[in-house]
Amino acid sequence: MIQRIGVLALLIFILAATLVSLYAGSKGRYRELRRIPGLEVIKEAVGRSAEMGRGVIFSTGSGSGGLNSDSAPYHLAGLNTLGYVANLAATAQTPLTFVSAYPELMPLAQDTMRDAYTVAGEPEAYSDAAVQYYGKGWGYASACMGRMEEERPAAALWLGIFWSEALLLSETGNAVGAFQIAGQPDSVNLPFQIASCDYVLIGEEMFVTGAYLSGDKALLGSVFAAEATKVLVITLVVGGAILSTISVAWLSQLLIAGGV
Amino acid sequence: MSLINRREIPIAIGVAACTLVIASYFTDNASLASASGSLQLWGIIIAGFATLLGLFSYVAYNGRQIVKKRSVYSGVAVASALGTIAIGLALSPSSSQYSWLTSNILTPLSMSVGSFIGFFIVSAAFRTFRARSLEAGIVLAAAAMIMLKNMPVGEYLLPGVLPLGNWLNDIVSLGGNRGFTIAFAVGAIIAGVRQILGFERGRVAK
Amino acid sequence: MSALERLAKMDRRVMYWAMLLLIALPYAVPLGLPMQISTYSTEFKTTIDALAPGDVVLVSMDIGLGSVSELGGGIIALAKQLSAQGVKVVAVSTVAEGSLVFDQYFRPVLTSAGYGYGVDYVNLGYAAGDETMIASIAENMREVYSRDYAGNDAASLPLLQAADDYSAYRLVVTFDAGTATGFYARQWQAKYGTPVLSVPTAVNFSYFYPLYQAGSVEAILNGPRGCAEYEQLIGAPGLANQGIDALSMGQLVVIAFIVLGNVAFVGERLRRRKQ
Repeated sequence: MIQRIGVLALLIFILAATLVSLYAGSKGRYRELRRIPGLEVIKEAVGRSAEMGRGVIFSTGSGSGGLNSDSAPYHLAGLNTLGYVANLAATAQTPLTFVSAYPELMPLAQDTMRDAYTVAGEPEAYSDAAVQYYGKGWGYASACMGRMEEERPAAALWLGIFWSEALLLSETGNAVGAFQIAGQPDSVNLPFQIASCDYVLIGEEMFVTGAYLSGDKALLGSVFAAEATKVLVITLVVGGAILSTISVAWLSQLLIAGGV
Repeated sequence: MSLINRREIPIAIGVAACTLVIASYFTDNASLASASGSLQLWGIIIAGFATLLGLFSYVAYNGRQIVKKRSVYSGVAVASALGTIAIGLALSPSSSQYSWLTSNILTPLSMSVGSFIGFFIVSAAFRTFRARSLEAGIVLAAAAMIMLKNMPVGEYLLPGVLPLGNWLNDIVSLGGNRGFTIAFAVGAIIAGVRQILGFERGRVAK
Repeated sequence: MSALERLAKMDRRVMYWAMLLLIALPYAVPLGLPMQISTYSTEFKTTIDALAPGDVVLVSMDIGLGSVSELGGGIIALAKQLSAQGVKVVAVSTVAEGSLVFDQYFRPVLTSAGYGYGVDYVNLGYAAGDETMIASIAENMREVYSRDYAGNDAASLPLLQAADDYSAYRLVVTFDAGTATGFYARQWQAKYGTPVLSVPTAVNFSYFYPLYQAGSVEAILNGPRGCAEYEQLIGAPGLANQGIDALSMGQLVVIAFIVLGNVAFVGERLRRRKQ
């Protein structure tokens, strides 16, 4: 017996829109993305590190959990940018450290960085020790802070999900003079990063990093699925508000998660 | 390409696992629920083993630092980690010795790091919260209202700040927050689909 | 450099010292600043009031020791209210240190109320897996926790024999410095209708507020302030009330420095315009 039909219908819509737009994108039917300053300046940040002879630090944050939680997409979105940053760091011959708050992210980060260094023609410059694990929460935050105080990186990228550690990391980065780029979904802690970082990716900019940085046609196409879904959601929100105002409850009943 | 390195295999596993868990959420079928439960248990077990991987990496890195005589603190870090594990394993985490460790070392250290936030908020707010433009001024005023509202003594310092702060929080901020959350959730689902289908591979060149 | 410029470029250590001294002040000289009790805290207390002796509650300690300074008072207050009403408690945690928090802050209240381990309360400890774990314990607790935090066989604990899945629990209370509230809202409330109560850290209150407004979270305490209010509501002012003056002072310091920053900024701009 099928239950939660409203939510299921929404999920099917999103899946269908994603698959169709991925296919359309791969056939060259996609729209160019607008300029995203937070991604454009990554090159500048890594270049600055190379010029200053200092390193780059990158982390996807501690947030609420690792790949077993609803934070997984944000960690993965961060890792999608790591490949690009590692490629730039390898080319500029500047050290890059990835700090992981979750052990399950380590092999993914190592793999991504190894590939990036190989593509950049510098496979010997990569070492697995470039990926560090310090546990999550305050242990992670204090280790990152200590490392930044010690190594004084010239650039710091905080792309993933950051909770209470957000301000600790970005304010320490600011104190050591690092050029900082951040991006995350948490609207509570994002303002802290806006206060302390040079550039911040807002909203879904985090999820288009892969498409934006790689220029992959299929990925660029899939951005359309998000836009289409948002139009549907806005329609449902407005429609639901009007129906609820005139005491018609079937739409809201259909869409509540526990509903049938 | 060897079977083990083929991209299609992990993609197929990912799609199958996702479909099973999602199907169990949308149906009341007992077998699906049981299979989904088992799959989730596997996830927990894998997460447990991943912790071991993290521990090995932590000890290996700090061990190298000790050997190269780079940092005395690496010795402290390894000794703390291994000592805590040894006491936990030998005497149980609910033993008085383990409790002593946590009460007298871990708790004060954790609280100290947590309390940095209070200090950092002052310096970040001092540097950033400036009325550089009309928009920045509005944000500043709203932030001040929310801060006063959240202060236990706020209502006494500025009468009326509680209803005004609540209105800002419950209507203005909540509306924006919901929009933000919905947009992020949609983006996360689509990113998840791309990831599972192998489209997101952390590409390295533009 | 003019005085305004010097003020605008104030060394951050000056701010840190000011913060430290002004937060420490109320601990040395209690100020007794007034506090108004919010409806959130009243609702929270009323929801717990509705529990009957013998009901079982799942207490999820989803905070590390670093967050005890914020929520410790609320933890003790909840333990006092639950034990006064004879409610049974099963504790779990998505954070490794959460089980220690339970042992150090919750458990002493229960034991002093004469609660028996295994019969009236159980501390199952930490299990990895975050949301997956929370979804799994709703279906079969002993499958996830074959042993409790002290290493006892979970099957041998009478309380756990009777409360092995969501159907035995009247409600869930999560002390949360992460996103466990969302996990429980999705995996327990949305799926099975079990009411979820949340005690988040101050910064997370706004994050979970939409869940509270949507009804996914039955009641919520607003961080340390909510804990202090809750302590007053149950007539047992404690840890949270001790810190409430310091909390007010800390927030006043932030506001004072924002004002100073703006005085320097606007003053400097006016000075330059005149020049």
